[in-house]
Parts: sequence; structure tokens; C-alpha cells
Amino acid sequence: MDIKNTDASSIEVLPSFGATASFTSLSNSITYGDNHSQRHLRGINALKMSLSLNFNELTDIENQRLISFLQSHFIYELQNYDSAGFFDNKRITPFDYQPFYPYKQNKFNCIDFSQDRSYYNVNNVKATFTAVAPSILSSVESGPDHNPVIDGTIAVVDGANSTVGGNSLNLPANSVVYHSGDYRNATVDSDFNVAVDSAQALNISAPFGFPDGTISCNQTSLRNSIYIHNPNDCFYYPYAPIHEDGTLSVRMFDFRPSESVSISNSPKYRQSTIDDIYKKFSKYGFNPNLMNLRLSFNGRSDLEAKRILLFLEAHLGYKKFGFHLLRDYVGGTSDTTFHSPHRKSLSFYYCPEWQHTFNYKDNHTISASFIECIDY
Amino acid sequence: MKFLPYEDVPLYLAVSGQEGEHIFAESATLSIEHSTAPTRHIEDNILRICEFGTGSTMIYDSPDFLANETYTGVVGPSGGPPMTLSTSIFEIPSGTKITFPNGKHLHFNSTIHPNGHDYLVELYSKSGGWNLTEGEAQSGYFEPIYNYVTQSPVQGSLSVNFYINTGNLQSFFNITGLSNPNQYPPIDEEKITGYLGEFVFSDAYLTSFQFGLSPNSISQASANFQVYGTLSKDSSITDSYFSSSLYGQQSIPHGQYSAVEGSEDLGLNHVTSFSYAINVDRSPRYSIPTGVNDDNIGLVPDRVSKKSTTVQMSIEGENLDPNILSDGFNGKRANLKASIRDLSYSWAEENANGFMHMFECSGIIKNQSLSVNSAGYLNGAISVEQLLK
Repeated sequence: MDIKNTDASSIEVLPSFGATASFTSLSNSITYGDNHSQRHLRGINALKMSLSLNFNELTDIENQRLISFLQSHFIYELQNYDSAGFFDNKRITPFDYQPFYPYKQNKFNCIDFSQDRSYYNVNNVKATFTAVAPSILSSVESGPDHNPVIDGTIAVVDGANSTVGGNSLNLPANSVVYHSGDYRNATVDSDFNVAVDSAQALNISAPFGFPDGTISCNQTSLRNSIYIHNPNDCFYYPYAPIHEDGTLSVRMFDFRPSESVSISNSPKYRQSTIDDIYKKFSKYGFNPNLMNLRLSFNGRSDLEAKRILLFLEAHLGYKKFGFHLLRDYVGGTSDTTFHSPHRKSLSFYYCPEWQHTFNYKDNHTISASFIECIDY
Repeated sequence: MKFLPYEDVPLYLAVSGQEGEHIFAESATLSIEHSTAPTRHIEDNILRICEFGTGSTMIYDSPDFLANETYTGVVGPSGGPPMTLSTSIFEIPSGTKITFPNGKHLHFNSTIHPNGHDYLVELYSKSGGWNLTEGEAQSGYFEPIYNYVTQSPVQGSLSVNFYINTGNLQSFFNITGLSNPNQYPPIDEEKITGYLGEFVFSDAYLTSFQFGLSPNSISQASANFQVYGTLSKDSSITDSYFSSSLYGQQSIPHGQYSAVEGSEDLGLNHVTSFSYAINVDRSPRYSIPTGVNDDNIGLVPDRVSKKSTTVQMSIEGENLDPNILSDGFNGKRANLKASIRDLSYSWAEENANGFMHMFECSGIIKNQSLSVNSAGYLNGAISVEQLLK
């Protein structure tokens, strides 16, 4: 039965802390003989987001308006034909909703919600919102090195006018910019919002020095995220990560998991199936000890959580990235034994799903599945 | 700043948006609790050095250290790419010692507050003539100062022992009262504002109120509030404090003329004392900030709901009848009323109100007891509980 219908046309109450956003990618995977794998998403809508929200301690009237709004999307209407002869009012119309930090307004459906009456005039509502038709084409994020199409450049002259090239830049104060060719960086003292081919005084603080010259910057007006509000609040090392053998073709995930981590090992092997009693186990492939990690990033600040979430989203659930786990888990390129991954000193992963919980102000938890893969 | 004596510390309470009054309190405690937890990340206390330089090659080549010379190191595993210092660290004070295997030590040359971009660190050695192998450089142990995160909203409590009077009994100490008579549903969730000394709070919610009375004594009460939001300091409060209404005469309940009705049905014809307590279960609702993370959202509750409201009234006297041991299944019912009066002086302006307030409890006998001790009398006690709302 419907709750008493109201005129609520939007969600008028904010959810409580503890809200969770879940992301899942749908991909197809091919695994080859040496445990090398390739993945590709099943379509442009294959990175899905759902919100699990609790609206706690609602009065009867607040509860009624919320439930009424959520129910209203399913109420049957007399079928109506448009000029092309199709029903034009059969679809469950998604609604606009502004989720919690750091997400941006999007269209959602709510197909699962429940009410818990805990006391007179005290109600709790749980609802799951699913983002409708998010497109990975909305993700405009630079890769592991300078991308002249979407990135910008700054001809840095510390304390003087510095010219912007490539694309217009939007650097909020306290953004970090990196010198090309090494890891020296500098903090921008004030907002640096400059159109392409224009110049503005750039004041930076650089504890290790910052030579004048042209640098790359991701924080451009073209940058866009599927789900994250204002991605230009986030900044990363914008060049190909430097390795003793040169540079990597993937970005590095530079966030450390929380201290308590469980690492389970499931080596790959072959097993004979000659009969049910005798089994013969055989080594299999160059890379048997690839990991399947479940990592937690607890107690993260607003900005760090946003940086992690944007990084994971930009890899769309299937693109690989570099990641240092523990110092005990490291191979070496000069090692003559066959390490797993084969003759690599660092590991590469992709992240097919992750969850973000907003615990309290400036306190976020992100848990994610990292699946190890081979970088070739 | 100086210590303020008791008589210079005002306690003022008011229903939000209304005029309040000073409370004649014997004691008051405002306490605040902040639920926090330290953050720890994997190997956040281990410094790994993959290059002495600025990170252009990631090829490890240890310098021959000289005493008091500074060196720039790149943080990360051998061969790179580098990694940043952990953001679980609040501060690495300048001079913090890094202990490497085989008795080797380096020190941080400057104070660092990691921000997620600290690939480089500046180090110095206190002695010279040694170097670090690539393996040793991966195991630098140090002890930083860690960050903490807030786990739940900061919440305080205000506990007051005070003397009830005609002014405060009907307003902010009345859990079941209404600050707006036309309110529907008739449940008052309005907040209380006020100050203790020079510290002003604006989001307090009453959770319990209790008092007792016995013959030939005045009544003393206690109350507890949940306190949320901000606590500000206003030094001008104490300046106007002495001209306040606190020093006017108040009418105070006294056991002389106060009476308990309904005790005869419980076998108590001579009540020697009674106590009254009302408690309400309250839960705050905090809203989560939206896309732009408004700093003002989430600190103060939008609503502090009222749930179960329970009254307990206990009386003591000379007897006990009936007893719930044999006659109490599903609750033996009892009705108690306590009419609170002052001394009813007919010749004076103060303490001359007579009747002040009626407290009622119509519920079940929750527990009863009989006790006697040497040089005493047999005493009976009964406690009645009512779920009010």
C-alpha cells in the first residue's frame, strides 16, 4: 500500500553519516597461459555506482514525504502514446540527487528502500540509490604522462608571470605541481586559474627547490569525472613514474593501506584429473603467485579520500596501475631466479570494485579489491 | 586568567529563543568527550630510501656520509618508483632519529607534516665515514607523531545539582512540558541554551531530572543535559551576573507541607521520604555534508529525538503491603502523586506560594524492599515506574 501521498518532489532530508557509495565494473577478461590477462569493459555504462543511505531520526512528516517521493516513481499512469506510437510514460523516471561529499549531482533510481519505525514520531529509512546510465566517456583524466590533448603546461617563473599552454588551468591554492624529470614539487600559494596562452604571477613554496621551466599539469578545464565533484581539487604526479629501468607506462597508486592487512596466497598450479584418488600437481606459468588483495584505507581526510576515489574511477575498474604493497613483497630485475611477477621489482594491479564510507567529518573509509596483473 | 570562586560562576539556562534564568546550583559539571582514534598505515614508521638525489634516476648510490652534512633522499623501494611519506603521520619533528640495521643512524633535517606528496626528505648524519647499503636503506625505523581522526560527533554533558523553584520547574527542567502550547505532536524537542561561567552553549537537551524530599528538609534536585555544537567564551557574562535575578528571593520546595497521595494503598501511612526521577531516551540526527562538503553541516544535530520517557517514583515508610512476590505478575499497579509545596509562610513574601507543582506516577510496582537494622525500625520501600511516552 502506498504511504499517504504528499507533494514532495525531491528528497528534502540529508542522510546520516555512515553513508556508503559502492562502485563496480563489469568487464570481460581473457587469461593466457602465463597468467597474463586482458580485460575490457562491457560497455560505456559498465562502471556502476550505488549509494546506500540511512535517513535516521525522521519525524513522521519527514518520513512520509521521503517515502512518498520514493514511491511516486513507481505509481502507474494511464499509458500514453507519443507521436511516434511509443508509450512515453512507461519508464521509471530517474530523479536528480546530490549525494554526499565528494560526489556530484547525478540521476538516480531508488528501487530498494525500507522504513523502520523505532518509536513514536521517530523513523529510520534505508534506501539504495543506483546511478542511472553513467558513461565512462565522462571520465577525462590524464594517463601516466603528459597528454597534450587534455593536460596543460606552465612555463614556471617563480614569483613572476608564468604562461599557460595547452589548455586552461584551474589550480586551487595548495595544489602541488611537479618538476619534470624528477620528484621535486612545489605548493601553489594561491589560486592559479589561467586561460590558455595567458600568464599570471605564480607564487610557489618549494622545500627542495624548483627550477624555472615548463611543467605539466592535469588540473585543466577539460578534466572531468563521472561521479566526483570538482576533480581539479585532486593532483597527482603528472609524469610517467620513474623507475631504475626508465619510466612506467602506468600511474602509481601512492596511497598506503591501513596498517592491518590480510594477504592471502593462492598460487596457481595444474592438477591432473587422471582419476579420483591419485592427483598430480604441476607448476604452472611464469607468474603463479599473483595476489588478490582486499585493502582498507581507514581514517582518510576529505582530500585524500577524494584523491583515492578519483584515481580509482579514472582507471575505470579495469586499467592497471603500479602499487607498492609491503617491503617484504618485492622482487628484482637483476635477480636470476624466476620471481612472480616474473623479473619485476614492483606489482601492478587493477581495481574492479571499491566502496567508500563517509564515517564522519574528515574521516572516510575506502575498501577496495586489488587484483594483481602482469605489466606486459 | 584566574580561578573563579563558586559564587562568581553563573549557571544560566533558557529554552531556545526564550528568556531564561539563573540557576541556584550547588554544583555543575560541563564535560565534553571527543571520540578519536589514531591512524596507522602500512609501514608508516619505516623509511625506505631508493636514491640519494631528487628522484631522476632511481639508481641507489650511497654517499660517504660526513658529520652534520645534509642529504636529499627519495622515499621508496629499491629501483623505484618512489612512494610518499604516509599521511598517517601528523609530524616528523626535526632531528628525529632514523635507525638502520647494523647500528647506523640518520636524522630528519627539518620538521615535516606529510601531505601525500612527500617523495623527498632531507636527512643529515651526526657522524662521518660510513655509508648505507641498498638493503640497509630499505629499513629505516623512526618514530613519528601520528594523526588522529574523529570517529563520531563531539558530545558533551551538563550535570547540575540545584534547588528547584517556581521559575525553573515549569520550563527547562520539565521534560514533558511544551515550550509551544500549540505544538503537534505534543512532544517538545526544543533545545536549551545557556552558560556556565563564561562558557556559552547553545545546543543542550535535557535527558534526566530527579529530586528527593523528606520531612523537615528542603528539596535538592539534579538534572543532566546532552550538549552539542560549539562552546564559546564570553567574558562579559560575569560582569552583569551580579545584577541578575539569581539574588531575588525564590520559593523552594520543602518537606514540611509537601505530601504524597496514594501511599496508603501500598501499606505506607507514614512516608519518610520520596524521590522522583524522569528519564528520556534521546538520539541525535547528524546530516552528512553534500558535494561541496559544507563545514557547517554535521557538527550540530538537526534533531535530537525523544523516545521512551520513563518516570520512577520511590517512597519509604513503615510497612509493605501488598508484596509483588506473590501478587505481581504482569505488574502490580500503583498510583502515586506528590504535591510539592514550599513553607507557605503567611507572613512573608518569600516561600509563600504554597502549592508549587504536582508530580504523578501511575505505573507498576517495579521493586520493593523491607529492611531493619540495629537501633532502627522496620522500613519498607516501594518503587513505581511508569512509561509515560
